[in-house]
Amino acid sequence: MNNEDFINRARKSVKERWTVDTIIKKLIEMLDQSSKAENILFKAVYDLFFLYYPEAGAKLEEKDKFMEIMEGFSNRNSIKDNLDLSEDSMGYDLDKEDIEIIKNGVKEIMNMRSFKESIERRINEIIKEKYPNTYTVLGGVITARLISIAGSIQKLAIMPSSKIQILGTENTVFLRGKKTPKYGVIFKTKLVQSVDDNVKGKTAKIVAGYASLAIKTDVFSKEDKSKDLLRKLEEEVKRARGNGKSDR
Amino acid sequence: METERVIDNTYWINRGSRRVLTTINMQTGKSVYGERIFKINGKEYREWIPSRSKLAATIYKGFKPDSLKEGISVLYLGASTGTTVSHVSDIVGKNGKIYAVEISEEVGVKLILLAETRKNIYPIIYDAAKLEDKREILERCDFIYEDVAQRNQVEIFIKNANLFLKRGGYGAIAIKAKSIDVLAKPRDIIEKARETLSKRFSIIKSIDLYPFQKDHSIIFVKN
Repeated sequence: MNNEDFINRARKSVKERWTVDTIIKKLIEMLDQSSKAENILFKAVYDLFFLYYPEAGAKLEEKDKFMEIMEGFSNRNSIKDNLDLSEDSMGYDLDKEDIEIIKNGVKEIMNMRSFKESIERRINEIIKEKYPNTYTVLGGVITARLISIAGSIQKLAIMPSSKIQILGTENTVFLRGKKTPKYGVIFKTKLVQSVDDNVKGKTAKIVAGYASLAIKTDVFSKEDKSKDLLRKLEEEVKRARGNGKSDR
Repeated sequence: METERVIDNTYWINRGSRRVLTTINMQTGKSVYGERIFKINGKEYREWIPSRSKLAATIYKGFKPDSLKEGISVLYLGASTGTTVSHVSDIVGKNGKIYAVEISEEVGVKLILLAETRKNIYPIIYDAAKLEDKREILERCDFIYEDVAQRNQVEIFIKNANLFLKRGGYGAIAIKAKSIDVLAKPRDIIEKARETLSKRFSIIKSIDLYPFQKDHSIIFVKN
């Protein structure tokens, strides 16, 4: 065999190796990185704005609020009414060009946000189409995160549910002198978020159990049993919630 | 600039106070991964950077891997993007062969693209620990080089040597101590690897690659 045969075989095996999980992994990575980029950019824009109008800056430390107010920003005058401030400021009087830079920065952050939303929408779309059962139990982004940590959905399918429960806590799980964490990525699912703190661990366990079931259904039988799963899951979470209250 | 031969197609170039390791470029005018190219007396020399290639670091440390000759066949496990592979390809020349094995498809893409420009590279995108599946397309080689950073890399090396190394052939294994055991002392790990290898091969030399690569050693063996 000559070099070309080897190249053709290698090309083929690379092409066959790509799966939908590869795309999911890349998308999740992109989502995380763009979150980071957004935060860095926000910090830089905020610092410049603080120089110009520190009184307003002190009130707008939170990103969401900052973005809301800054939508109609052109100079101090334009935002002072929204924040109940006087125009007299101890900040440095920036030139027009510098204010333009702040405005462009705000626009850039907006773009980044809509970009992030579009990625999230796409992730949800893919997961809903490929893994419908898991989507109903966990939601798109969390399923994608689990896949990206485990490597592939097949690996996830042969994992015990207790491992799925603590996936994402790789740094703390073997720390000496600490208890094993109760939840990892699963913590951000709607159901775990909705219950009280004292039953969060228990709910995470239940959700992980059903997630494991849903993943196995998606991988092996490929039937859509999502309604049934969701009903049972909600029932069980309800029971757990009730127990928690009676314990108090 | 003066040149001084090290092994086949590999030369030291004296540039004032410093000397630079190079291999003769098989494809004139092309740089593979952004390395410098020197032109002396109508020949082209590609710089071989020791911090990027463990084999180059070996030569910088003073060892001459004589067993790497022009025209031999090499089984290269853990080829990655093909930085070292491109230099080994320079050394073995047009009549030699390099079977470059790499498991990851993402870095494998670069390796395949390199192989398309260099006719003596034979890329295989497969697990180096399961090469017995590829027995029908591989042959016994004169030299095995392994750089896989796996926990059982010594066992993988011995297994592949049994399958694909000619009698009297040579081998080199680059051992990353940290990937075998994080807690043990690197020296102990290398010593243990030497012991395991000496049961099967005769050991030529083991070299610590400090300061070019931290906690890496390379062991040369003869079958």
